[in-house]
Amino acid sequence: MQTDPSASVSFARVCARFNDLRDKHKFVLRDISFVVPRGSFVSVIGPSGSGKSTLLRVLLGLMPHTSGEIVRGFKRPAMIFQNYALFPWLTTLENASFGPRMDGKSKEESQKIGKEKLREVGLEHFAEHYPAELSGGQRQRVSIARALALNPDLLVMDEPFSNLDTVTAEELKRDVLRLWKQYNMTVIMVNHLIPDAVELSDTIVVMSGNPGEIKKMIAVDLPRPRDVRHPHFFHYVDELITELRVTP
Amino acid sequence: MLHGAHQIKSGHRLTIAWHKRLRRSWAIMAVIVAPLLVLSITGALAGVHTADLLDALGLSFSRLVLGYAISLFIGVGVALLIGWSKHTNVFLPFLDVLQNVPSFALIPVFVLLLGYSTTMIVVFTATSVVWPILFYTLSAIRAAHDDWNEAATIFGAVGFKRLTHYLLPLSIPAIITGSIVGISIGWEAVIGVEIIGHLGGIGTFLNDSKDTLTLTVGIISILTLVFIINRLIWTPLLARSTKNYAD
Repeated sequence: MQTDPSASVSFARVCARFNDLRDKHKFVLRDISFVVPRGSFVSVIGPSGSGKSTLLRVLLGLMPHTSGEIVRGFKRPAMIFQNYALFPWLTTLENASFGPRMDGKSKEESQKIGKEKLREVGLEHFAEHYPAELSGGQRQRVSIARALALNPDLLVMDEPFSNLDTVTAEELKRDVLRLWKQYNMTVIMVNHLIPDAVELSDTIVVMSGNPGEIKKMIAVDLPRPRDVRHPHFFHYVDELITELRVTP
Repeated sequence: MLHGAHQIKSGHRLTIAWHKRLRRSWAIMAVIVAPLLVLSITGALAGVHTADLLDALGLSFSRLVLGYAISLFIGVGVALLIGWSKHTNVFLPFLDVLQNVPSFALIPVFVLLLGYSTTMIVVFTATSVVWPILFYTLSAIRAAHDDWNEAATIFGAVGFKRLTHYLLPLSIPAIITGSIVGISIGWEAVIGVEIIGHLGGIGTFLNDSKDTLTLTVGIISILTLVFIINRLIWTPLLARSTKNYAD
């Protein structure tokens, strides 16, 4: 496959199967082909079991794909998890500094970066707290700070707002949009909340389940910041609901 | 005005910290002094020389500590290497078989190799203590959340850094629990071999006891030491790991 310099990621007929013996013939992903332009915000939505999270793991090399080709045009990927995946034995600051520390930076330098990123997400006063002492929203902010500390060119988010209350999720969405622009990074987000996908994304990839395949790709052509009460917004929401309803 | 208020506040904080430290020092003293007092009184009643008893206990304890240090190094090291490897499941059956070999069945082998000596007791103790440390550590690594493993990989904890910055800290609570279980097994090993080999230490002291009262004092001395170690080392470590590892 030819490398497209404007693409952050390109999938070409990518398939993946489970590794364990029971399901080894079952495709989790089949014939996945799409391109994520550099600097864009792409959401992947679909029913449970449609392979959305697997797609992210295959992209990041955490899980092998069985056939097809993935061209990775990014250098510094970072990930935000649904359950935050913060290390409970590290303080907020140590979690935020983890990436730079692993990158070979000194402890002082890493902590300086960590502090700066905690400030960006509004948690500088919680630097010495452990994750267990924080609320869900605060933990997700630490998770964002940890990702930003790598200065990523690709941010992958696996249902980042699913475990949060509505008010916190709304605040975090605003922050994610601000940081996306500020860092000029590509964002790929797996999500099951249709209005969130429409509000945030340039493109929405709709997947169907068993096996996970791409059913449709929808370009969201709405000006930013998006008015979630505008009739055109509801038009996209309706279109996506219809697509997901007829998904087998 | 504000400056004065700040001074009063920080002075108050210092006083609280000083009181806390004082309370802690008293608690430590109480944990050490009270059991030793009980031991001295019962020892005096039984006509046991406290110095002889403490010598014997000290000798056994030093053997146990050496054995524990070796098993900690080997147990944690092997568990980390196996947990780090992609073929963990290949090693497990071998380790399980080795673990099930009764330790005391190996005494003749160690005697043949090392004779009845302190080295033999230390090595034998290490082979008894190593298993709980190894298996607890390995279980913690295998039971780690997938999200943590993935986050560690994505944020760069790969190669040797994965061992030192992810797997080792992840295993600390398991290492503490494995150590507590291992040391209780270690006491059995040390005392058992001291009784069999007549190599001094508290085992030999107990074996040579002429009456029940002396025997009781010997047992109380072991319990006293176990209690002190538990209160001063394991309880604070467990409390800390519970706080720092809450998910």
